[in-house]
Amino acid sequence: MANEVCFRTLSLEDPTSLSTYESIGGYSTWKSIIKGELTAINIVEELKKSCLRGRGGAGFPTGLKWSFLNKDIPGQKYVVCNSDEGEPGTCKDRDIMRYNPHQVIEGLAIAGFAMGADTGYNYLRGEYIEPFSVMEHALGEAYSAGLLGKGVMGSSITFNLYNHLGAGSYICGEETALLNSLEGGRGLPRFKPPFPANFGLYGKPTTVNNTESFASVPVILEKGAKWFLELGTDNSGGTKIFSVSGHVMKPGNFEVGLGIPFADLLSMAGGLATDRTLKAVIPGGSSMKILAGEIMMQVNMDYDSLRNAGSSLGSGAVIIMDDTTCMVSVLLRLAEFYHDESCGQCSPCREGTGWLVKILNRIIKGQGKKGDLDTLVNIANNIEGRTICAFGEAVAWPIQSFIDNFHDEFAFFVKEGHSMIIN
Amino acid sequence: MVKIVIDGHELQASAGDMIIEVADAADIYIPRFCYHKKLSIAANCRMCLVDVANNGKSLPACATPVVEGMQISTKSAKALYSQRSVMEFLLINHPLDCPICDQGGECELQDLSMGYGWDSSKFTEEKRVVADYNIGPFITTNMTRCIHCTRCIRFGKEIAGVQDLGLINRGDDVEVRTYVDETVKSNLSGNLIDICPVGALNSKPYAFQARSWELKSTASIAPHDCLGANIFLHTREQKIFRVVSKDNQQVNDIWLSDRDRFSYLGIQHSERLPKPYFKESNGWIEKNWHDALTLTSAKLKINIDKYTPKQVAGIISPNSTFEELYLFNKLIRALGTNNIDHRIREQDFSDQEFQPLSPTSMMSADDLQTSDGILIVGSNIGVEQPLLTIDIKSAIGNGAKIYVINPIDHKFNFDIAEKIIVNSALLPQLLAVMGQYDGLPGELANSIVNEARSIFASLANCKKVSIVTGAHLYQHKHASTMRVLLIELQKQLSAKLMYLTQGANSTGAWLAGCIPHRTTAGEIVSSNGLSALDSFKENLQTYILFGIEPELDCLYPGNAMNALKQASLVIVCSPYITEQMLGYADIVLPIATFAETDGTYINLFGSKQKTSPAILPIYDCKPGWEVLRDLGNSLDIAGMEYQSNQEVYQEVTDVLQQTKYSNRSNLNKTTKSLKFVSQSADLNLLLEWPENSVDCITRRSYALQQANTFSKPLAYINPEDADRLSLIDGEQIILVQQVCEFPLTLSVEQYVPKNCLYIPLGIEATSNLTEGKIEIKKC
Ligand SMILES: Cc1cc2nc3c(=O)[nH]c(=O)nc-3n(C[C@H](O)[C@H](O)[C@H](O)COP(=O)(O)O)c2cc1C
Ligand code: SF4
Ligand code: FES
Repeated sequence: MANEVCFRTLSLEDPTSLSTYESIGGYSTWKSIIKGELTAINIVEELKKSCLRGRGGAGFPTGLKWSFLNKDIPGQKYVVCNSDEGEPGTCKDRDIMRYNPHQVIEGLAIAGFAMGADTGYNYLRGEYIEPFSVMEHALGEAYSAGLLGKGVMGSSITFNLYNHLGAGSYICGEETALLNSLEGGRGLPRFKPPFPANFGLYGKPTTVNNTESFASVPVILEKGAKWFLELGTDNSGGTKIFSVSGHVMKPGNFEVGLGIPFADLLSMAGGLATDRTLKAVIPGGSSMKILAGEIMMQVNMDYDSLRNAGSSLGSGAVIIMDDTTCMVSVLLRLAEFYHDESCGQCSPCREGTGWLVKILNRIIKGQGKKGDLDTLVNIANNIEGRTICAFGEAVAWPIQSFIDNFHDEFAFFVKEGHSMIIN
Repeated sequence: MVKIVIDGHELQASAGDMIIEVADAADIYIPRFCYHKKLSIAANCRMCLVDVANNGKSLPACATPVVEGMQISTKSAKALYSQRSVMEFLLINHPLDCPICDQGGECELQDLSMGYGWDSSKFTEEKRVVADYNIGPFITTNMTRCIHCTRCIRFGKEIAGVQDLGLINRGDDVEVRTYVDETVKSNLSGNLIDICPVGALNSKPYAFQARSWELKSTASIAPHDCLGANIFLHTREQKIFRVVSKDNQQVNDIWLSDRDRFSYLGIQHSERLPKPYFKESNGWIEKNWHDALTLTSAKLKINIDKYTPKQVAGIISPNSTFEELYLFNKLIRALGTNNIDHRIREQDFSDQEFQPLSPTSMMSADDLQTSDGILIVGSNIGVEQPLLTIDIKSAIGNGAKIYVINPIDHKFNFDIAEKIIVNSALLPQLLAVMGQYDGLPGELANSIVNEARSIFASLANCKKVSIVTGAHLYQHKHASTMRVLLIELQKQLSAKLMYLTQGANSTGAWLAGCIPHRTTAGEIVSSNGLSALDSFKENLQTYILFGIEPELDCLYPGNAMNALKQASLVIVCSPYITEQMLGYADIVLPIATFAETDGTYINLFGSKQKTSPAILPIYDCKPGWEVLRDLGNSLDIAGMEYQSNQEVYQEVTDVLQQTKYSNRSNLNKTTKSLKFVSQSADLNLLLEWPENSVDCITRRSYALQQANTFSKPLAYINPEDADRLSLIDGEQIILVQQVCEFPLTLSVEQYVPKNCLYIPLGIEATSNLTEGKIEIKKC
């Protein structure tokens, strides 16, 4: 079974239109809320039962997060959808917005109601011009149909939603940098505490969730927490979209039940080219730790299994590398990415990312020195845990895990001045 | 209160305080760069990481609030490792060019790297290089040294109120700079030199001049405005190298205005007068002090005998020390005249009998910060008292609303709730409307009347109101009327009044008796003497000037120049000599500046602040008090045999204590008889001093002059007036007065109210301006 939650309109004619969405039950939850048939407590409890965990990378339980913003505490509050989707390998939010925009809108509206926020923002990464126009069109339809706005359908419920296109920066996916960017400032992560639930957008209580998290909500409430939970495993409810890329024959987005064996996901993506063997996989976006191919072939794709294997589900971007891959080159490419994207405010990340690139570049040029690998790991260790935001970990983990898993290959490059992999 | 433990010390702290604050209070040092007690928290340098029990990660002490029972270790192996690894990151791209860096020896990075760094670095790659840029005459940039703590950026936003600096780019390409290539505009910018923990932002005039450890530090006062910021003068041998701020919560906190910080550059200027000089038939002749004093007193006596003492006037700078003011008073009165004044920038003295003992403010800086409503009346406060705008900003931070009534739309570095800008001729009526005073000529537009009433209503709703008034009021033709109305308003609003007075020592001048209607301690004189302006208008025979350059310091410099040129004896005590001075003076006696002598200044809050000499008087200069004493002695004036300045101070303090002064400021009587003069059809003159040309010292600081504002030979008018007079922006015009005319360039500006001609004083181009009608003629 696939494509049952966020991608449920995918196989239909004209998947993005309001009528298509309504034809499969879309906006029915929102309408029952408007009729007063559903309370905020019902919603939050149902989400807790569904075991929906944040799809943005950290996997924080969504129901629990929503319970931090009490609907009945007065004052301005906001819900913000994180469609920045910057994590290398990840391209699922883009397709949700391109093919099922109304479900994102409904998810945000429900969230607004559940937490007492009358305003929502959907922050899209700067390059998402096409998804932005699809979202804008859908938003227009929803307003025309009277589903959004002040006093929706004569009720006392108000919800306004705005799409906002960023300027193209990975760090603006970090929720507090996103809020600063949305406010018109530099996309610099804020020191926490205070957390967005207390001091968020414009200093008001705010909940930030990933696009896929929001888009899952309407279906959970339509079909029930139990139905959703059972699509996945006990502690990892529901489905997840995996963006499978790299050395596979049919790369793409696959919405499948959590807990699917990696081997099955690999064959859904067409498997490797003939004569190739699986060397390594980054299972959750480039910031997560890399795992060796043999280990991956034994692992199921859910939060706990991947953690036990020493990595993480992250954003669900599965990057496949076959035996033609030079790990030193890949790591350099990743380090360059993080060097480029560090916001530059905290010393360890600002200085450390540049230092890593300089050493890796030297190694690639055949000028590696004894001790370089230890220095790389030491730099990564010294960044980890000492920064304002989790970007520090996002830099450190690839460095640590690449060198740990493929130490011989790195040592060979340093010593011989060229790669072990000859293509 | 919560109990926490830092490094084994049990401490009490308020919940919510940051660990670093609690540690600082207990004298436990935690290394830091981005943290600054006067700025918001950024938590970006990560130098302050400490070890908090039950936390896997080290936490930043500057951004982690304490909670009950918190166990903190600032020196555990884990904390030290975190700090050292951060230090390593900070140093990898730092140039470590300490031997050629002016910050060397007082650099936070240098100091902390000794205490919290590893002795070697693993970094062997190429270092980053960042371009420098020119941000004006005060500050050098060496941006390769920047550690991106963002203190300077936060300073701009939070203290200076002008965000000149910001970050561009990301990651290790990040640069602190002005967004567009521009200079830093704030007149508090010199504080960036202190704020920057490394050598990225340093003093430009001090560049490559000295090493901090070679310099001697002398506590002093910056005598350029009535706040009197506390400073240290840094000297080596007999040269002043720089000025830095001296912390004083009640006055300047830790800040300095650029004027206070860079005025020292004018002290050792080439125009310093080296010796006494006399104008004789064969030109200017140098004299030694002995001969100079004998000759001066002889000439004075002859002139007094010939023309009577009433033909003598003494005019002293309001920037003089309390002791100088006291001795000047003693000397001039002993000559038999009451023509003595320091109020060189005033023209309306009709309320002087009713004024209190001194124009000291009824409040403290703290009162200003804790006000919830502040009314600024007739003041360009950001220029007159740059440091007080910091207090105003902190009041705003606490929720205060600021209201402004001004004759020109000055730009301020803080947010204003409401403002009314009217032609200065209408200011008295506007104040009267606010105070519900009736019987007015009714020349104010209804909309303005309503705005004034609405501001009054808003202020009436405030719990604590401060009214701040400055130069546009005391320089005004009807200043007396406005002072009376302000007191009314102050009573109605139960407000406190703050007078931004002229010079650094107006209070001292009033107390010492440098006013024509009262002598020391407010003692009434038998018959009132002439004010400064009147004594010039009367064209007397003898003038004794102390510390002023009338052509640049007086409100109507033309009147002063005319009087001085026709007088038969002009004695000038001055640190500087100029061409103009040689034209009108007969005797010039060199006196020391504030850096070369000791003395007392009484600031607007009434605090007596002392300076001590940082260098010896240069050339043959003498401290002003010595010159006055010696002159007194050679004139055989009794009671002038002081051995030290301290004795003078003691005497004036005793006199003040012994005099029972009854408050004469009973202004109620006068409100009934106020007269309001209608606005005439002529262009109304509005005069202001450029911020860095307020006295003879600031005018000679080259760096201050480069950053000066409002000092170009321009005349400003409103676009409507320009149209009416068929004048265009940038056109050469001639201002014509009865006795003189002078060329200026026209600047047409929207912020100038209608019917107003706004021009700078304190510059050569306007040094002939006289009181009276003025007309614009096309070239
Ligand atoms: C460096 C960095 C980049 C991130 N980028 C994204 C992103 O592109 N999209 C996203 O949803 N969350 C991203 N996150 C996670 C968000 O901070 C936040 O945890 C998430 O939006 C919460 O939504 P969820 O609970 O629904 O997962 C990023 C976090 C970090 C530290
Ligand atoms: S860890 Fe990096 S990206 Fe995150 S706040 Fe610090 S410098 Fe910016
Ligand atoms: S001083 Fe705490 S992070 Fe900079």
